Amino acid sequence: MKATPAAPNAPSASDSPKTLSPAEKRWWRKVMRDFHVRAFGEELARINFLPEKQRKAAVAEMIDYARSKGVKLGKPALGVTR
Amino acid sequence: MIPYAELEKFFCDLVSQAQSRGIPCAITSGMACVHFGVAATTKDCDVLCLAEKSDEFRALVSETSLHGLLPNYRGNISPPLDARWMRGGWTSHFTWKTKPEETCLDIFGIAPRGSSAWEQQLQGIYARYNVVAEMKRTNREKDWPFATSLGAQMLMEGDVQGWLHIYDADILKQALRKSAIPERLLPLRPILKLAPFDDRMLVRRALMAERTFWSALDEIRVRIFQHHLRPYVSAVRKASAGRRDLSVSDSHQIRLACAEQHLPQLPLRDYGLKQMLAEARETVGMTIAPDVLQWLPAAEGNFYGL
Repeated sequence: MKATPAAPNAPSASDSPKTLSPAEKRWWRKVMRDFHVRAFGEELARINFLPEKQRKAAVAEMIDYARSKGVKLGKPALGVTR
Repeated sequence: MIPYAELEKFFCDLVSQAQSRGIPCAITSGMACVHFGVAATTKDCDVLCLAEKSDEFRALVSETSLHGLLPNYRGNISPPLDARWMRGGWTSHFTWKTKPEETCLDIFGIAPRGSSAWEQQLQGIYARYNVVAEMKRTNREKDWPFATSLGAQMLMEGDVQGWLHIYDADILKQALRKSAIPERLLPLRPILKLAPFDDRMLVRRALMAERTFWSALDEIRVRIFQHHLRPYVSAVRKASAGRRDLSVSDSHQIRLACAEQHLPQLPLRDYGLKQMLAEARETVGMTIAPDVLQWLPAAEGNFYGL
């Protein structure tokens, strides 16, 4: 494999993940919930904060409903993926 | 119509099987975002695969059927899934001709805008937040909230690398209440020097400059690839005699011959990575103002693997 230059963005040992307290997690959740509402709208924000199994089921339902109504969710063939 | 849940399982099984065969690969982009709790309306799948394992992954894809259908290369436009081109940043495209919609798979060897080895940042069958967030720095407006959400998710889990992915002025300011910015991130993202982010107008202008920069860089990347694809597409069409149902194996031989003639293996390197960065900076200077250039990332490290 070709040698690649050192990655400045590679995780550093000094940056090992810090464990957040339950209060900090609640605070983050509230901030992110507000952001999701602002960025994606009420309905997607609601879905995004569901437990994983329910969230994936809700996304699947939303996607399948859109497809059943003729919404094209496939990507155009451009030869380059963004 | 194949339900989304079935498509998701199909792609998860494909990547899982590839990994069990020793092929480093991972689901990225929209489907990874769905997994990480940021709903995206996508039904197709983007996968990162180590360029050196292109032959093995192509063999696996070509034998994997969906509803009794084997895949084909997508149209005449897809480059071959071959290490020589994948190393240069090309993407390869496959389709299962399901009805009423085709099911598509795009494969990357190099993560666009990646700054570190994606294959060392896996979470099961998914690329980790950091990789997906970097790939979301596209020229599509809709992608930025995804990057911000993933960055915030990282901070929420105590990973300070998340600071590199937040493109929202309010979240930047709020995040500072719970997470300190490590000194070592400042050269990577000069905008972080604006902490505590009290000058809202300046922060917003600098964020706009950053987004314009990454967007312009993505546009240049796409333009370079598309420029080379034009003669290649014609050559593949001619060599395939219009047949779009060729097996992956037959079509691959045709694509290899055409790629050898028309597709440079390292088009971005040939164009010049520094040139791409200079053009993107120039776009920012012209569309916003020269004074914001100081807040742009150097981004020289965001061509990892090329």
